Amino acid sequence: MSEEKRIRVFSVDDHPLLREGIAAIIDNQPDMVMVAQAANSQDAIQQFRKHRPDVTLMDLRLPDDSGIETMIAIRAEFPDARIIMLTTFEGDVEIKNALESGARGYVLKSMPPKELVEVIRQVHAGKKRIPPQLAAQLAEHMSDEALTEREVQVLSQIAGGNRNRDIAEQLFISEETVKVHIKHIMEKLGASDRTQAVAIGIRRGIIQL
Amino acid sequence: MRSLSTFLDLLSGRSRLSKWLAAGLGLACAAYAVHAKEPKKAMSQYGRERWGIDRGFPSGAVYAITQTQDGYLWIGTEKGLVRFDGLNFHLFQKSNTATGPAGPVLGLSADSENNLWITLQAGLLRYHEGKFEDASAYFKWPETTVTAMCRGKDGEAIFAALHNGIVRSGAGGPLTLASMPAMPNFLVLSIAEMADGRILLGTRDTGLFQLNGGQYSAGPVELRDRKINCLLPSDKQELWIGTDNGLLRWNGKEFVDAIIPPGLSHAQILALGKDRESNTWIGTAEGLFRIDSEGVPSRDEERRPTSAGVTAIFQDREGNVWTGSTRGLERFRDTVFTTYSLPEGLPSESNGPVYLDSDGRTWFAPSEGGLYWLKEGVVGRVETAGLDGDVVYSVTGDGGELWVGRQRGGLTHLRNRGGTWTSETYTQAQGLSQNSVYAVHETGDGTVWAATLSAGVSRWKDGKFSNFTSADGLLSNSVAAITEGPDGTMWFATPKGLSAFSNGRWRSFAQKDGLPSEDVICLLEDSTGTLWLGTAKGLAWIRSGSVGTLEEAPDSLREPIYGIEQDRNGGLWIATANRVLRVDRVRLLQGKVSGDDPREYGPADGLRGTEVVKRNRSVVADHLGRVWFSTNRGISFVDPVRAMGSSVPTLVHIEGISADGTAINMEGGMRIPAAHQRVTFTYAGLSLSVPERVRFKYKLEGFDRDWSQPTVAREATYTNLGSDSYRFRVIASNSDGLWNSSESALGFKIDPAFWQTWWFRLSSVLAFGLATLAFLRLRELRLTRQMNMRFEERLAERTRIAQELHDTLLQGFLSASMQLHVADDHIDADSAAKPFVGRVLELMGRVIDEGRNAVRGLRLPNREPEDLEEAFAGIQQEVGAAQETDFRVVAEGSARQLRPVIREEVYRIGREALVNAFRHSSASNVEVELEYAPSHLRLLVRDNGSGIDPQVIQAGRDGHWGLSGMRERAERIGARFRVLSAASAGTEIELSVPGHIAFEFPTSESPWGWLTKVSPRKAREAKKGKSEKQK
Repeated sequence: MSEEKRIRVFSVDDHPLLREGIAAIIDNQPDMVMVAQAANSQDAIQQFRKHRPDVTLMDLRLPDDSGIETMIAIRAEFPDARIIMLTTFEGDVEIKNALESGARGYVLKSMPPKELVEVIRQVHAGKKRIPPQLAAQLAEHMSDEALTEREVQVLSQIAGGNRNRDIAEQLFISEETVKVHIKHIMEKLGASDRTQAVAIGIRRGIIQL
Repeated sequence: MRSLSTFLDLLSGRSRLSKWLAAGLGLACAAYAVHAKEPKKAMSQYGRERWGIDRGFPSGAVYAITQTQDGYLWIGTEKGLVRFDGLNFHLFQKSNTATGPAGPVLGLSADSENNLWITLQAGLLRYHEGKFEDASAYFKWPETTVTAMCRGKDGEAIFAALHNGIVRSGAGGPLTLASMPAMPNFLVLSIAEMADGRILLGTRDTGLFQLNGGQYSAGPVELRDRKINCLLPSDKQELWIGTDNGLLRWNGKEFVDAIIPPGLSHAQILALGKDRESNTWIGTAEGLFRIDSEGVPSRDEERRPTSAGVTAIFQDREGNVWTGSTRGLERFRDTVFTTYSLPEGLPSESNGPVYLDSDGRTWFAPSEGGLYWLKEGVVGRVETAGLDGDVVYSVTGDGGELWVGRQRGGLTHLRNRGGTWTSETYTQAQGLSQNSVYAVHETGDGTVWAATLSAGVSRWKDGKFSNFTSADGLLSNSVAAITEGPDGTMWFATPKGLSAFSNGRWRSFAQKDGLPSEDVICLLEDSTGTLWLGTAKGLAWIRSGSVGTLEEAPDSLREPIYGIEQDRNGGLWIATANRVLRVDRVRLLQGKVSGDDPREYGPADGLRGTEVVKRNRSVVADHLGRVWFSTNRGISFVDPVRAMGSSVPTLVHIEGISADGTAINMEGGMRIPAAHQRVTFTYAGLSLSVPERVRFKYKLEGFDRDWSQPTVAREATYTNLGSDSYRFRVIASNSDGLWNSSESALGFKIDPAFWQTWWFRLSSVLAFGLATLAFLRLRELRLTRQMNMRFEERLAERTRIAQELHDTLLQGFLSASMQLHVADDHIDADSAAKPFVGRVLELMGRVIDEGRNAVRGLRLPNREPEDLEEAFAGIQQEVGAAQETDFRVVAEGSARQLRPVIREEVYRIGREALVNAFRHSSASNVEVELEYAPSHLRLLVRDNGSGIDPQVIQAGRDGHWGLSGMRERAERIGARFRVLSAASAGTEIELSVPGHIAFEFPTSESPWGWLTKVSPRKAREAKKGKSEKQK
């Protein structure tokens, strides 16, 4: 297979070990080639400009910015960029956010490599691809009321072990307001306490670890 | 005026005395009758008391006196209406009582309907139940002018009303008996009702009229020329008429002029009154007169020569006669004692012995010397045998004979022969042991014993004297008194004890025999054979040969006793050095005499002095039963029957209540506002005879348990009464110490202060409860907050760990897994390594999944609360325990949502305990009990296995038992953890988590949920089949 015909893949992940694993999978595919790798958002954007990959595997979580933000930035410059989100968790909110922001596929790191490469091929072929288990997850929460931006912030703070007073200080809102937010968060997530809210938040990808 | 002064002279004691001094010398005995008849009781012998301005009586002339049924005395004066309770005057005037009388009160009448009628210069007032009102309202007349009124024979009031005629008051309202006769100058000045119902009208100018059956007629006597001031109907037809020109007495047929003393026949008579002794009291412009039932007139001498006109006379319910004059008020009390002294014609105030002979003579011997007698107001003197020059120490006698013991002249025997007295005197010359004879006694057989001052006793018998001295066995040669026992024993009182002489033998009683003092002063052999002894230290008696005394004698009976006498009513009259007492004889013998029992008599009772002289026979009884006392202020006798008979009860009234000095309105349901410190009751005991002697006992029901001690105080004060209902009760004794009054009582309530109200107390309790709750809640909140902080710290830590897991281990595994997949692709399908690699990939997949779950903090599935039971139920299988073990999970109470963290910890602790039970205890029975109580969540894990060594539990060296881990977990969530175990008796692990920590919504129910809601516990088997008995 000629160099030109092979799918040029770009991997963005802050974990070197994982990049190594992905590289091993891609390089093992005769129709794919790993053209570049990036460990953070900024690097990712620069490398993309430089290499113009066919398909980009983007980790949701990056040290300097989120994978989705990075994707948005790239797609702003290159609207036809084909980007697949690659994460550890199958949070519905993340999936939703990712898809709404222009991701063409969504893949879990724990999926068998065969499925990953298949998704790469489909996306390269111009299709959108979400594995069936994620589609189900997405459908389950389709009707759920989304957390507001402020609520997500509050939930992140909770996950960070902050007390209401600390949260209030950090977000420049009153403690009472924090309580109201938490109440809404719990209601929306169906959580019974802060710990559970955080757990659900993480599981559903509302907040990232 | 001449005739009056003659009359006065006749009555004058001084004139009597002067005549008496001019007695003829030739007579052996002289008696001086001053008047043909002496009054039974002289004016001077009444207990008299006067009230003028100096004693609080409002000044001004008295016009009328009456008494209302409640016992108050009312006095109509120039200044207004005065009420008197015996001690204090209260003046009702326009100035202090809005509806009260204005100006002088001219007439008063009290009827049986509790009305007091008050005649004013203009109009008539009616005082009823504490209120004054114009009588016009009662009569329904436009105006009321009453010129005279009286109390009718049945107790109603009868009025002579100028425009309305003669009207009678009554229960059914006023009744007009007749209109005024159409006669010129017909002005009624006095009115009275006769016993037969005729109403007599005394007029100013037209004489006397009678109204009978609505018809007027003149009469019963013609008195055209006289202004009739007052009328006094007496028994049956008798009528006393007081005019401006003398007193008239009409017996129904004619005037009885004989008994009208000349001085009154033309005097201006202003008032008339009658007392219960049938004395007629006459108030004149010249003073007070009295005509007794025998017609003997007396005149009040004490006011002369300044006596004022007596304008009002009234006898109260106790028999006291009250008179009013321009100078005030005076009371004449017919006292139980009657005293004779200088004013009554006695030669001396102080006398020695008294002897009453059977002819009604009272013999007495003044301390200055001489021997006298008194009979029916007539005083006589015995001058024979030199008695007028000697002091008489003792007198006794029998029939018409007297034996007289003299200071110097020995013993004189007096005999009355046909009105003259003959005498025979015995001295030392005749064998008398000494010429000073202190006590004389004549025995039943005519033997006379004479006790000398210092030479023993002499016995005169059969014309001979025998003498006995201390040498013979008499205790002392000074003998103070002699008496004779019923068996003929002679008793001698000496300063060294009591000697008895009987059948020629002497016996002695001294202090060792029980006498309170050996100085025996007087003796009384009473009618029951008890010998009473008066000693220098009180009373004693001898019955059946033994001495008796009072163990707890009142102070008055410990004083030196100078005389004892018995009355016919069971009383002993005892004269001590300072007192005159009456004590019940039987009570004395029973020893039941306490401090208040001896009734003490004094000036208020008619005694002028209470110091009885220390002489033989200074207290003696006469044949009428009267007891005579020789005092330093005259000779007094008491009629014990009258003394006992005075039992008119005191009328008690509660006059007012004040709280902290403010009067409380006593009408209606009385309430005293709360928070007053001092409640004072004022009351009066209306006994006008001797108000000073009235005693009160009171009791506040609701506060006092018993009646108070008797008190003279007329108010009672209570402090700090709590809010409650009370009833103040008061009773009073009368002047004679009889507690025979009816009770006066007043109920009232003290309102609660706000802090005493039920609502305040209730809200205090509530407030306290709330405060306690708030405190508990705060504490709970603080604990919860502490727990939350701990949870938050843990959350942060967990998040950090998860993050690290995610970043390192998980990513590493993912990468390794990916590369192994690649490697697997390169291994031939038939390669021997292929299955191994596949197995590793599968393992890695599982590790990755678990890692992801761990990172997400979702170790326990998100289940419903019941699922804690379910989770426990699954453990048996999970740990692969023998299925033979009988395992059950039981939940009690309604399951409540647990905090996830708590649920997790409880699960872990329970799981650890269960794992121990299944793996190590070899128990055949394991049980989990979950109790959801309002206040706590309790987990019990028990088995019947081998148990844990107590040392292990104590020391905490738990090895693989995981006890310390459980304890730490329990501590972290603020739970109580307990292990109960005995070797071979199984193990019980108890975990108790406070409700506010354990439950998700501890306050989502009622705030008082954990206080009030005690939900019935229902035991509930776990649902899952696998937790049921397995066999």
